[in-house]
Amino acid sequence: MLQIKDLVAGYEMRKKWVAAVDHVSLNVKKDDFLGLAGESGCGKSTLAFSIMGLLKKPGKIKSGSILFKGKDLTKMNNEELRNTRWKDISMVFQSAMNSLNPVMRIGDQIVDSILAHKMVKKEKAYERAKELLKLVNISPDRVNSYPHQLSGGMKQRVMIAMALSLKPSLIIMDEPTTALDVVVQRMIIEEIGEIREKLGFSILFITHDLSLLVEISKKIAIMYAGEIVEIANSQELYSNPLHPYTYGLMSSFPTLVGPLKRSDGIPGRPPDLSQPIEGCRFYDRCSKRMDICRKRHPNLIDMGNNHMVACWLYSGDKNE
Amino acid sequence: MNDFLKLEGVSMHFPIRKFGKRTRYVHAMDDVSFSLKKGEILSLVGESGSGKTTTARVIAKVYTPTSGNVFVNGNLVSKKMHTSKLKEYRQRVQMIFQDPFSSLNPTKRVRSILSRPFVLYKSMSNSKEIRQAERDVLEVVGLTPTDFYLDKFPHELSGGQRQRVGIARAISVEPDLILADEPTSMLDVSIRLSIMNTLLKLKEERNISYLYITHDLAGARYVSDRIIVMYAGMIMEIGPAEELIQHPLHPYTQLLKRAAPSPETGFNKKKLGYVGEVPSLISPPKACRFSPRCPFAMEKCSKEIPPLYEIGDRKVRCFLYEKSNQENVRFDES
Ligand SMILES: Nc1ncnc2c1ncn2[C@@H]1O[C@H](COP(=O)(O)OP(=O)(O)OP(=O)(O)O)[C@@H](O)[C@H]1O
Ligand SMILES: Nc1ncnc2c1ncn2[C@@H]1O[C@H](COP(=O)(O)OP(=O)(O)OP(=O)(O)O)[C@@H](O)[C@H]1O
Ligand SMILES: [Mg+2]
Ligand SMILES: [Mg+2]
Repeated sequence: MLQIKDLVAGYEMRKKWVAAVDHVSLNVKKDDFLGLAGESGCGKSTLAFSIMGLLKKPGKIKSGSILFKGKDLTKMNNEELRNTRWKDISMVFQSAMNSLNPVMRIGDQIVDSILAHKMVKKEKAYERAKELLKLVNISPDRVNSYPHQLSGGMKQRVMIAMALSLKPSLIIMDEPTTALDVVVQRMIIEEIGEIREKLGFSILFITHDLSLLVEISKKIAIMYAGEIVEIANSQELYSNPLHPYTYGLMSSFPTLVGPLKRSDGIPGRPPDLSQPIEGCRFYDRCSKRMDICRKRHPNLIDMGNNHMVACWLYSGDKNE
Repeated sequence: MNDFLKLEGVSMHFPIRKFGKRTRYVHAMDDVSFSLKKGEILSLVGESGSGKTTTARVIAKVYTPTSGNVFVNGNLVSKKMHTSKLKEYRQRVQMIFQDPFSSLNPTKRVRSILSRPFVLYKSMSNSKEIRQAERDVLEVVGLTPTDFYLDKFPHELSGGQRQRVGIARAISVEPDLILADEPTSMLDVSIRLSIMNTLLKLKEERNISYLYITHDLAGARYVSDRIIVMYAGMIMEIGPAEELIQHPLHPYTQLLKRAAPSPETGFNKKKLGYVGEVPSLISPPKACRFSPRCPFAMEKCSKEIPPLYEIGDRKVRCFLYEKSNQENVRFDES
């Protein structure tokens, strides 16, 4: 369904190039629920914007392709893009709380987005709007509220409702549940899961909530400093993380059970994306680094069992 | 007497008008009372839309409450304050806003966003000194190389990077109380951990108090001394963090714990399934707000609002814990 090949995208700054997405390849199949996690600022939103064709200047796709149902999104003209966007691929932005029109009632906004793409009667669209609000657990007596009258999480839920409204075949969700309590979060995700089974669409779910992600997604990709460093099935990734960065992440979240211990997370800082890096980008912070890691860049290799990792620890030719 | 902050019966009702109809009210906060000690981290968890942000905004004097009183350092925070008094108040009580996409001035570089508090509240004027202070505080929140980020506009930053600018801004003036509204929701687990450690360090070194709003129960357990659970505008439970998490008393707290992701206890958990109707906060009935969803609801629960019952150093708003019922106190089901 979605095939990203060798995508390079980033931001052109005064003579500098911020390599936010660097040679990323990723596939999302029909009915997939793919999770994407990674450090803050590593390029997840940039990747999402690239897929949507919404990367604005100074942002730029430098090379690579994004095939959606066989067509290259990076080569589409504005007209074609407009037809695909929202109807075929929709997105819940990370800035969802700030993306609603502040002077319009939320019900009207959902109705407008339905009417803009579908030929239905206005009453019908209103019915649908109320249904959608219920689906995301907002009591329908709030259709007449303005955005400023809603809590952060309610605004996020309105955006989720809008993304679902046109029954797209791919939904990109960029941190859609940061302001939701775990009960509502779980209800909505279960709900989305059910519609997904009925209608058959795919989800690319970006989040920092790793403990949530391992429970809800089929597959997880881990991104670090603009690159995908590991992909595996969720349970496999949780119980058998291969990349030292993934391992660090998996041991950095506090737990609900067991003794309470203070821990420090992964030491060090991510590299500056505007400087070219030769070897592995995690080198400075890695506890298992070797000589080769500084000199040569590791590529994603298949470890079998659908588990891919980019790390010299697992590469046979490291003594080369 | 070392309560730094105290709320007594605070309610906040927002009017909503509909053409041709009488005004109705959204009960965002009803009868909220709690206190916060100097150097204490108090987490506020609860349902989305239950009044957490409103509570923080009332304390920050963004909203004037419909009724009830707020005390800081034993003094009543008056509804109207002189500008000079207000400025002092704002220095002592800092807020980290929930939405990092709307809380940073889009026309200003990080440098000037951060310099404002230093100039305004710490009366710094030497630009070199200010620059160094800015670098130090960016270092604390992990935005390095600091000079690179000082030059950026908010729209050039990722969500988590903006969030950290917000945190830097709040801690820079060394306030007495920080109202942190989901400050780490967009940070990866490793940075989240280091920010939480920073907050703990500031608490220990400078005795700063926090009201820490979060949806991350495990995070709340990690940082806080006590936890408050809110549901539909009311406090449902207050207690020491570890006890509350390990033995939630209120049925809503129990539901929260059950829904929290915790892969360490195994995968493929049972589905949560249907958990009842969404509460409406518009003219809510005189009843326990959780009763429509509560698996233990009794007849009484739909007729009266339960008071907060005290059980040791904990408080819980549920008729199950009425004196006559206390021998069959229910602990965590799971
Ligand atoms: N308009 C822009 N101009 C210059 N640099 C930018 C711009 N937008 C983003 N960046 C930089 O590109 C990098 C990737 O940003 P992106 O928003 O994709 O990160 P992210 O992975 O979504 O992070 P987060 O989890 O914090 O949201 C960041 O280092 C950011 O500072
Ligand atoms: N200015 C306002 N006018 C009318 N209603 C409001 C206003 N601000 C908040 N509300 C309502 O008050 C209730 C509580 O909102 P609040 O923002 O405090 O929730 P919250 O607990 O912070 O939720 P979240 O976790 O989703 O951010 C919500 O029902 C909201 O719709
Ligand atoms: Mg992002
Ligand atoms: Mg809020």
